[in-house]
Amino acid sequence: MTEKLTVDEFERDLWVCAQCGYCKAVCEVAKEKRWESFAPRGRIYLLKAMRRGEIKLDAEQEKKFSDHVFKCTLCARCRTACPVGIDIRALQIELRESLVSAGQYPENLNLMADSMKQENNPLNYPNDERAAFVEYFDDPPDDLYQKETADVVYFVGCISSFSPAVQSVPEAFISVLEKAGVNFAIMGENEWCCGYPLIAAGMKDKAEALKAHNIERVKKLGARTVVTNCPSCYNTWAFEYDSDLEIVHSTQYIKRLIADKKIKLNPLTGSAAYHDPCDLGRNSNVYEEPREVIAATGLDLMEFPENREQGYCCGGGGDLEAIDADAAHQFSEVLAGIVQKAGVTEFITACQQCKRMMLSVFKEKEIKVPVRDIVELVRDAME
Amino acid sequence: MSDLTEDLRGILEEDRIASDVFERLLYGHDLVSLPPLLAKVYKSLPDVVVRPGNAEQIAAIVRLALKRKTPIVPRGSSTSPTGGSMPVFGGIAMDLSGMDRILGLDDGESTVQVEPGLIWEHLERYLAGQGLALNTYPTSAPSSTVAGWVAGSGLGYGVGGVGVGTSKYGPIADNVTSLQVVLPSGETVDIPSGDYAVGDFIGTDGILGIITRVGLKVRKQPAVVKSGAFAFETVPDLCHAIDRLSQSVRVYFSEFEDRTLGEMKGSADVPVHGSGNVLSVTLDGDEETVSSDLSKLHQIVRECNGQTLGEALGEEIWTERFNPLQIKRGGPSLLSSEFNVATARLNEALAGLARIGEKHRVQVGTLGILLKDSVNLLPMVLNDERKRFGYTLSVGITKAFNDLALELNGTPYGVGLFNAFYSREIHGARLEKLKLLKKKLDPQNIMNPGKSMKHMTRYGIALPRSLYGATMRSFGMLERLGVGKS
Ligand SMILES: Cc1cc2nc3c(=O)[nH]c(=O)nc-3n(C[C@H](O)[C@H](O)[C@H](O)COP(=O)(O)OP(=O)(O)OC[C@H]3O[C@@H](n4cnc5c(N)ncnc54)[C@H](O)[C@@H]3O)c2cc1C
Repeated sequence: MTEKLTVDEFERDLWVCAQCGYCKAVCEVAKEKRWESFAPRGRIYLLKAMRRGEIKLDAEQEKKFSDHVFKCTLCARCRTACPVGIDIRALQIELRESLVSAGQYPENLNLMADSMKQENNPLNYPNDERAAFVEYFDDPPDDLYQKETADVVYFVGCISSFSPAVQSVPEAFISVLEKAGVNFAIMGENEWCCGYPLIAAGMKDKAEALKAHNIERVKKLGARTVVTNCPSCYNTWAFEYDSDLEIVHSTQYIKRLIADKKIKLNPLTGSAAYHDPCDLGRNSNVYEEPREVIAATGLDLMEFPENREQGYCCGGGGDLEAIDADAAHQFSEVLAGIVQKAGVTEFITACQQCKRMMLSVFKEKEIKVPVRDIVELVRDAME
Repeated sequence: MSDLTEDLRGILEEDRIASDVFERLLYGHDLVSLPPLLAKVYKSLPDVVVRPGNAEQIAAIVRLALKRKTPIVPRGSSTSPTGGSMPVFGGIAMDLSGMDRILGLDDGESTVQVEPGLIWEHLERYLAGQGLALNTYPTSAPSSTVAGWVAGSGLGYGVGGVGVGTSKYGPIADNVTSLQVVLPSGETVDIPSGDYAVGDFIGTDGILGIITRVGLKVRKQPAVVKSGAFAFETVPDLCHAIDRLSQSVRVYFSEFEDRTLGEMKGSADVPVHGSGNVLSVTLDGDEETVSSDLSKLHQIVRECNGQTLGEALGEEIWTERFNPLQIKRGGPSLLSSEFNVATARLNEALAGLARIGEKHRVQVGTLGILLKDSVNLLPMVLNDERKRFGYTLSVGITKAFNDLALELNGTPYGVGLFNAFYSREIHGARLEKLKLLKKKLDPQNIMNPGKSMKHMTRYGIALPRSLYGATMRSFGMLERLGVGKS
C-alpha cells in the first residue's frame, strides 16, 4: 500500500515542509500523544521517507499510520501555524482518500457511509423524521415550514435536526427568521446530509449524489439563497458544491437582518466569550460577523487568549467523534480547561456541534457556564 | 546482553518507549535533509526512543546507558540545523519535549524556573499574563524548547544562542541563572554549585549531561514596543546604517533582508516587504527612551540614504519574525549555513556572498540579525533535493559560506555535528576546557557522542575539515553513477 499513499497536488509540499514543528506545537492530538508520528510534520516525514525508499510500511505499520491520519478533527490549527504555507488540512483529506482507496481506514466510517446510503444522514435516523423537531414547537404551522416555494432555504443540517441536545438551535433560528418576515422554507425529508462527513472521511465520491440532490431540491423551491447555522454545512456548500446559489451562514444572515432593520434587539447585559468554530473561522474565514452580531446584542464580548486563526477546537469535527470518541472528548476537555481558566461567564458559539460537545463536557465536569449559539442569543434579545 | 527496550521498561511506562522503526525514523534527523549517500556515514536511526517524565527517570536511564555503554542523544523539538539532536551511533534518543511545566517565579519575580521541554512561546505567553517578559528567545520560539536553546552551541561554549532581544539583553548565557543537570554518571546536580558554573553547561550541544530544569531571568514588560521598516538602495548604505545604529541605539531586535532574498521571495509567492535592502528595527522601553531612539534611528536612515517604509510594515515584519524559513516554499529544498561576523565587516560579507552566488550560478538571499557589535547572517539558496545528483553537489555551497566567515575573522554559527569541523573557531579558547570537562564527566563517552568537538561518523572516524567540500563532490559523483539508489 505504501506506493499507493499518494497525495496528488501535495507531493511537492512534502519536500517543502521544513520540519520546524510549528504544527506539532499547536496540534491537540500531538500535544496529548506526544510522539512525533502524531504530528503533521512526522506524517510528512514518513511520507517522504517512503518516497526515498527508507521505509516500507508493513501491515501493522500501515494500520498505525492510518490510525494517526484519522485521529484528527481537521481543525486546521496546523495550517495556520505552518510558515511554509502547506495546507495540511487538505493534505490530510487527500491522505484519507488514499487510505480509503487502499482499504485501510477505521471500521466505524463504514457505519457512517452505510447510513448515508440508506438514510441520507450519517446518524442512521429515518430521514423522514428530519423535521420532527418542529412538531414540538409551541404552535407549529400546518406546513411545518416545508413550503412549495420560498426565497430562502434554511438548511438545518443533520446534528441540529436529529440531536435533541441542540434542537433548540434550529428552533431559535426559525423563530428569528419568522419574526424578521423572511420568506423561508426548510426541506424536511428532502434535505439530505450536505456530504461533509463523507468528504472528511476521504470518501468524496460518495458525497456526489447528496450534493446533486440538495442543489436540485433547493432549486425546485425557486430559492436563490441557502442559509445554515451549521459551519460544516456552510463550508461544504460554499466550497465543495458547484452551484450559483448564494450560501450564507446564520451569523452573516442575521447581521444582514439587523442592518436591514428587519430585526430589533433589546440590549442585553452581561458578558460572554465567543468561540470560533473551526469550519466557520479557520476553514471558511468568517470571523467578524459573529462578533458583530454579539456586539449588537449589547453583551460584552470577551476574547479567548487564543482566538480567530489560533482558536482551539471543541473536538467535534473531522469525523473524529465517530472514529474515536475518547480522542474527541480530549479536545473538549482542553477547551473546558481554557474556559475555566479564563473565567468565562457564558460560552457563545456559532455551531451546534461545538455547543453539543461543550454542553456534554461542562455537565461531566460540573462547570456551570451556560452555552448558547448566536442564533439563540439573538432570539433572546429580540423584541 | 539483555534487551535495551526490556531494560527501559523497568524504568518507564510503556507509552514512554518506542522501538518501532516507524517512530524511530522520526527521531533520526533534524531540520537538515542529508543527501542519502552522505546520510549513510551516520547511524542516525536510534535503537529506541524514550520520553522521560522527570529527572529521576532520566537519571535511571543514564545509569542504564552507562552500564550498557549505549549513547544517549537528548533532544527538544529538533529544530536546529546542525545535527545536534541527530544520533551518530544510534542508541537512545531522549525526547524531552514532554517535560514542559512552568515551575514558578522566584526572587521577587525576577526569575522563572521551568522544565527543559517547555516551548519558548508558551513561556513568553505565560509571562505576558503576569506583566513580565523574557529577555531573549530564538525566532523558532513557536516550537523550540528552553533547554534545546540553552544546550545548543550558537556562538560557542559558555555563550550559546542569539535571537530576539540578544542585541539588548545578551545571548542566552547572560540570561540563565540556574540549571539542574543529570550528569553522564547518573548524578543530578544543581548549578551553580561549588564545582560548576552555569556557563559550563551552556552551548555544549548536550555532550555534558541532560538539562532537567532551567532558571531564567525575566523582566517587567516594557511600556512601549515600536517597530519601523526602512529600505536602502545599495548594500554599502545598508551596512553603513547598521554600523551607525549599533553604535548609537540599543536596539531590542533588528533584522534585514537583502535585495536578492526579496526577489527570491517574490518568485516563490511569499509575502515581500518593500523592495531593495530592507531593515526592520524594534525598540522597547519607556515612552521617552523609545521616542528619542526613534528620532536617532530616523536621522541615521536619512543620512545613509535610506527610505522610511513606515510603522505598519515594521509591525508586520516584527510579527513575522518567527518565519525565516518561509522562503523554502520556493525550493522545495533550502541550503544554508548561518555565520557571525563583526558589524564592521558586514559589507565585505555581503559582497562575498554575492560572489559565491555568481560562482555557483545561484541566487544567494541573505537574512541578517543584528547583535551588539556583530551580525548573524543566514545566506539561503533554493534547491531541489528530489534531483539527487544536483542536490548532493550543491550542499558544498555551505562550505563556501563557512570559509567566507573564517576569512572575515567570523565564525560559523552552532557546532552540533555538521559544524564540528569548526569547533575550534566557534568555541574558541574554551574548547580546551570543554574537552577536559567532557573527559572528566563522561569518560565512557555516552552523552551525545560525536558532537561539538570533532565531526564523527558512525565508524568512529573523525572527518577532517579538508574533506568537507571534497566529500560532497565525490558523493555527488557517486549519486550520478547511481550508487546507493534504493
Ligand atoms: C524557524 C527557525 C528559527 C530559528 N531561529 C533561531 C534563533 O533565532 N537563534 C538560534 O540560536 N537558533 C535558531 N534556530 C535553530 C533552533 O531552533 C534553535 O537552536 C533551538 O534552540 C533548538 O531548540 P530545540 O528544542 O529544537 O532543540 P534540539 O534541536 O532538539 O536540540 C538542540 C541541541 O540541544 C541538545 N539538547 C536538547 N535538549 C537538551 C536537554 N534537555 N539537555 C541537554 N541537551 C539538550 C540536543 O542534543 C542538541 O544538541 C531556528 C530554527 C528554526 C527552524
